Amino acid sequence: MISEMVDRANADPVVRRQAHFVRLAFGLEIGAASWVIEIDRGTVAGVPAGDGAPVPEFTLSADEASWADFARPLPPPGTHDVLALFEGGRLKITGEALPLMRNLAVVKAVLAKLRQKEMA
Amino acid sequence: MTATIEAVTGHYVHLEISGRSYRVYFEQAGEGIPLLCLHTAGADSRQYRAILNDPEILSKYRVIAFDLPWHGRSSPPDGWQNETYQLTTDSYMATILAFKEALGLERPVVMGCSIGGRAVLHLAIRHGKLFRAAIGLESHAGYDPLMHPLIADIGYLNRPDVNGQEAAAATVSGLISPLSPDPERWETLWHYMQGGPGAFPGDLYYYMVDGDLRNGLLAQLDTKICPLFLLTGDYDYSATVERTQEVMRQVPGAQFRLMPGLGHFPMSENPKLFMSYLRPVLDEIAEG
Repeated sequence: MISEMVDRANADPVVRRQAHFVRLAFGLEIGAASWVIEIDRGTVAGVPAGDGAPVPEFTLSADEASWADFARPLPPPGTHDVLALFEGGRLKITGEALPLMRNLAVVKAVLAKLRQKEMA
Repeated sequence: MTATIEAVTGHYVHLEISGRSYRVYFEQAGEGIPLLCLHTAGADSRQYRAILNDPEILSKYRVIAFDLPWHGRSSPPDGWQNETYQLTTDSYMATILAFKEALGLERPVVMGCSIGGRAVLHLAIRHGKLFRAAIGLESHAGYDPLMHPLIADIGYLNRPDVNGQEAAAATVSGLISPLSPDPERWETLWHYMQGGPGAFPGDLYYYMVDGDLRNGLLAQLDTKICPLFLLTGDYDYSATVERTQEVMRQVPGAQFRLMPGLGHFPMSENPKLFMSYLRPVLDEIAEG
């Protein structure tokens, strides 16, 4: 799931352009699985959290069902966006919020690659 | 390709609002019942472009949309550089009424979205006799957004180490339905990317704080004086269907229309679909 997301992000010139000036590591928790997503000047990488992984500035956490809904080609209302999940109480943001909000567009663009097929 | 010129005309009107001078931009088209349109927080009247170009609506309605001061082509007042913009219930109402008076609009229908959707509730409560009907798009009485501390305390929408244009668009992008077409989605976001510094969070002060109507005032809204129509899209996670229906419970006689497939910006994110929900409402008002 994560490796496909990373591959799709790196294959998309729009995401690469958005990420060109970005250096950011953030956590992504899908149920019990924890990842660190690193964006480094146009390139996206994902590694399991833990020893040797970059220290995330913030972490987005939701259960597997929520991320599965989010990743559907047409997500149901309330699951179609990270902030929709957040406002609906299905996603938690921990760590520093400012780096998330500063990079919100590119973070959303990367996470959208969890979907095999882009939304309309 | 043949060039076309729209029938929409743009003008500036000079207004005195609470003792200060403002130069306010508006667009209009059509003839008939005045339909005064209010844009969302941090955006401007371009959101109503499709309605301003809809021949069927323009055959019955004179559609008018203005940019709030500090938005679009309406300048902030002299001295703006020394103050922090905050939209309040009183300043919003005063602006709308000043504009209505300046244009001599006789009992217009007022339609607003998001903050505009809240404003039509305040207008109907305070000045219902002045309006033929009120249409609230993505209306609700208020709630406690988890986003509010990020906006109010971290201030990410207006600080020098954040690109406010990108941040504003990224903040609202998920409020658009995934079913909305790409060209309209990205034009809606472009409007947000063009907002002046501080305008969007200044509007959100009304949306999230000052304009909160969870205070019992909705009981004073008399739909016999000012009929109220509420239209809400199911992909709006801010003005949710449930929050709109909470208004319904407090306002006897209000009418609700669910708009499946739409988000927080129905008139600009998917005008074709939105118009299919709006036309019957406008017909009902015109026949009433």
